[in-house]
Amino acid sequence: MDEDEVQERIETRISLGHFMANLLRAAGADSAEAQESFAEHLRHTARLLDQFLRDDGGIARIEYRPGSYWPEQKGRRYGFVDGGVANVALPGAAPLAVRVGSYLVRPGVEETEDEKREEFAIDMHMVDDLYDPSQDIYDDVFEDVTKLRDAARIIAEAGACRSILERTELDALLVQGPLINPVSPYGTPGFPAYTSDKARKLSGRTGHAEKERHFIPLYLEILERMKQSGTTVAGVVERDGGGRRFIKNILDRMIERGKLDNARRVKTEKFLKRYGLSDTQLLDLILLEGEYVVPIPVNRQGDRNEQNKWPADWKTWIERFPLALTSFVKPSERAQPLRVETFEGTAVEDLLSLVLHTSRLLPRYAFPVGLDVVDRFAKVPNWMGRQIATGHKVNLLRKAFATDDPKVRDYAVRMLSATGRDWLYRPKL
Amino acid sequence: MADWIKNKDRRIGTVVGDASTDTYGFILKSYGAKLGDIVATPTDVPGHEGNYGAIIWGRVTSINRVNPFFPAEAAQELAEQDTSLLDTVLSTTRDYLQAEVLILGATRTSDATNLKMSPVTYPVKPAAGVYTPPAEVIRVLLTGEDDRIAKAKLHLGSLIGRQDVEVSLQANKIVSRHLAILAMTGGGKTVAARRVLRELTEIRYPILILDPHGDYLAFFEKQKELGGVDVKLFYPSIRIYGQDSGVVEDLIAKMGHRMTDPQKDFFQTLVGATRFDAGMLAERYIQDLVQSCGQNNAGTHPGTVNAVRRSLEMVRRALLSMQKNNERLMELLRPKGYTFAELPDPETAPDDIIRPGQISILYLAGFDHLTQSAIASIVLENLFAHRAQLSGRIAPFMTVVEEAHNFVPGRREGTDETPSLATIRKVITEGRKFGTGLMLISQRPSRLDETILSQCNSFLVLRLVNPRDKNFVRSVMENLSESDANVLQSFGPGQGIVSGQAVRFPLLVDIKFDEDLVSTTIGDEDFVSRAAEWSMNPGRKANADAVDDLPEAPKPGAGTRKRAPLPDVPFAAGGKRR
Repeated sequence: MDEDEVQERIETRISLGHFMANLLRAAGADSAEAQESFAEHLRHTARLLDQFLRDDGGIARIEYRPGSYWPEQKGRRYGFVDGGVANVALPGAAPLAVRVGSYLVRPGVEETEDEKREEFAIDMHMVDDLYDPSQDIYDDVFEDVTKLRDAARIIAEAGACRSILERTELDALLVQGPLINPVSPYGTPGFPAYTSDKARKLSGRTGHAEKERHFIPLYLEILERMKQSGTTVAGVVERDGGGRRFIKNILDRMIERGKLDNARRVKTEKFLKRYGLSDTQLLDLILLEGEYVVPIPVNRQGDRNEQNKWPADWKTWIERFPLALTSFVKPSERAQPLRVETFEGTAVEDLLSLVLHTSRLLPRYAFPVGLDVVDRFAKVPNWMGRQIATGHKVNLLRKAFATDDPKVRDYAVRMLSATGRDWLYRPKL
Repeated sequence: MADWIKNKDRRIGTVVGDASTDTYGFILKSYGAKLGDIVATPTDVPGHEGNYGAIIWGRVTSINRVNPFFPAEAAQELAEQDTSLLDTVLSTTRDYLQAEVLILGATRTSDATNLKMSPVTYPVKPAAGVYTPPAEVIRVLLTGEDDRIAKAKLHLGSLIGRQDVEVSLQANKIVSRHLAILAMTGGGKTVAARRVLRELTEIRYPILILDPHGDYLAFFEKQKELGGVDVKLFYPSIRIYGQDSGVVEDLIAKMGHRMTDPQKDFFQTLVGATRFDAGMLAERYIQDLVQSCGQNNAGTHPGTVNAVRRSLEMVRRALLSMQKNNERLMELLRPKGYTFAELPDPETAPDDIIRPGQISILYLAGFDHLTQSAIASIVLENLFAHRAQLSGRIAPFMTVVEEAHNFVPGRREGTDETPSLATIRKVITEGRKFGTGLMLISQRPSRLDETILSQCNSFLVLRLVNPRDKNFVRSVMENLSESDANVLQSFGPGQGIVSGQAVRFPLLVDIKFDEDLVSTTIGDEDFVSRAAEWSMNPGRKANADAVDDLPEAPKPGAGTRKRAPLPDVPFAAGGKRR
């Protein structure tokens, strides 16, 4: 791809809004000159990476051939998994409601009474109040409930995948989001372990020692079991969250092959950081429709420089986490590439062909339709969240009024009906 | 019986979304109900003495099927790539059904013996169950709990899709408050009318049918199937019985020109001077009046004489024409066993036309619309007068007006020349008091007079496709919802919606087809075969051939000398005059 082509693609992406945030960032912080040079730098960087990847055989192509591809899939069984989290904000409580749904489908098979084409199921669910001392998920309370929620969602999705893989024979299982998540944020001191019952449900076995019920070892155990199943399992990431881990790996490779010196690598990284450019954004400029980056193993727990940030207590566990064989595939010209992660040793071409063909069934959205289906299925609807909130408020008020203490009643009413700056809190004359 | 509302096997859905006192929506279980079904939802309703449990009854007016797991863009891609949905990973099974319900009313209990309906004053509860009631409960709900009404029911058919639930009309509401049967051609008007009339004959209700096409002649053939009811076939023949000139004056007024006062005076002179035999044909009497014009015109303005003569001639010619046409058509039917009698004088012998246990069919085929309308007007006017005078000469009766748009056309159709319009308007407006009910049947509702149609308290609307007809029906029928109007075009033959006072609420109905009343001797002619078999009259053909063999006559001017060219004359167009 020459520079003019890259320039044209940059301009198209700007018109689609992909780089608008980066431009606005430049507009807020930089001089007019610097703003002008943004597009130029971007063009140079994209051209640099494009040339290296293509010369290095790092870009391959999958043919989109729905007419022959889908009949070839007849009788196979594919699974799609996604988790849904209830968005409930409650005074005096930290509710956690996670459920993981699955959609298993056999293309080319007609649904009969004896043979099912489609199976929908909720494979895992966790509902609890994280402030409540009588814990059902974690065996203790923890200040940072956001981390508790995130950890619960991650491990519930992994647990559901494990459960499906161990009970059903599949040709591939796709999960929405990363296959392997960074775990060090959950290794901070005091982060509680899962209850024995929850650990059993997640891992499918009993007899965990207390330490083994902690998020990090339990998640590792589940991932290893998933890998051992021998089934193709992949995480498909719709929005990459601005990470540059993949590009950094490519820059490393460029240095290894003598295609770049360290000083320029640092300069490039600084440029990417300054303008918040992500793996997806850069690869969107490089990849053409149907192309993918030949996968490279990525340590999702961080490279060598980051290993010193791993919590000391869990270092030996974190080291054992599998690498994510990572690729980016571009299903259609007008959609950003999808990040696809799988375990090492997977037949990547078949996997990416599945991702491409299922994504092209949604030509505009360009995301695997099976994951879109399961996302709609597992999503916790707003009305359900509202019902939970209402039930909680009623319960709280009932308890307050049962105390016969007017102050407690007053506080309860204020807490449920008003925000901190509401008229109720105005100073009395 | 009362426990069906708690029976989970009868639960077909759950109320969702915003519910009002008029409508609510629910998620329907697959194959749980169909469009038009009656459904019930239990809910608590505030009353004078606290809350009480009520059942809210409703009719399913629409069902939407949604598959949120099947995006439109996927359908587009499948079509473009010519790929089968089943071959892909797309989902086909997670569709759901969202139904809308029109609330009909509420009852206090689900006990089938006490289903007294009252208006709904409180909405149903979201998340409440929706149930399908047993057939016997719906039957009680549809007919009401009053035994007296139950005895005077006219069985019409069954609910669409629920053959186990019979639908009946309240006879009293039909015979006194009129019924309109509206449908496009082939929609089942005759089937529906035949059904209602058969039921009326079972209660020996007197019926008069104005039959412009002979659609009801089969009743004569099927008297045995009708339980021995007396079916009379009449042809119209206007005779003069009384000493007064009313009938002729009526005929002139309705078929000719309205007379001015001087013309009326002259006409009365003619009547006084013309010999009159009781029972003589109106046509003959008019002929005598015409002759009398030439003898008794002394002192009368010639214009007046001529105007009266013209009117009389016009009426006479019309009467002669109708008699001849009608006679020809009756001749075709006589070999098939049909016997026709002259219509008795509606003024002096109304009881020969209207009698309990008798169907009188006035066969109007062969007449033009104006003449049909004039006859209908005279007959109905006289019969109505007997009822209105409370003379007791005739029983209450029902008149069937087939092709009603020709008898009661709307304003756009040019109503001035339609004699029956004013008569039927009077009958339909006052018929309720005197027991002269009407059954108006039409295939073009939008051509009907709106005022007259709106006087019909019950409607049976079958398949209608014409948008103007549908809109017109909707404007006239107050309780026809938009969704009901939309479904009209999808009805099959004999399917329709019945609404009005004859039923407790609008119902989608499958009308029972009385196959045994279909004529075996007259029916739709096979014109294709008739055309194939047709050959020219042999005598006509021979004559034509003979004429064709004659030598051609010379054309005018043929064989004459060719005209010599005109001499060359100089012509100075635009040139200077000399």
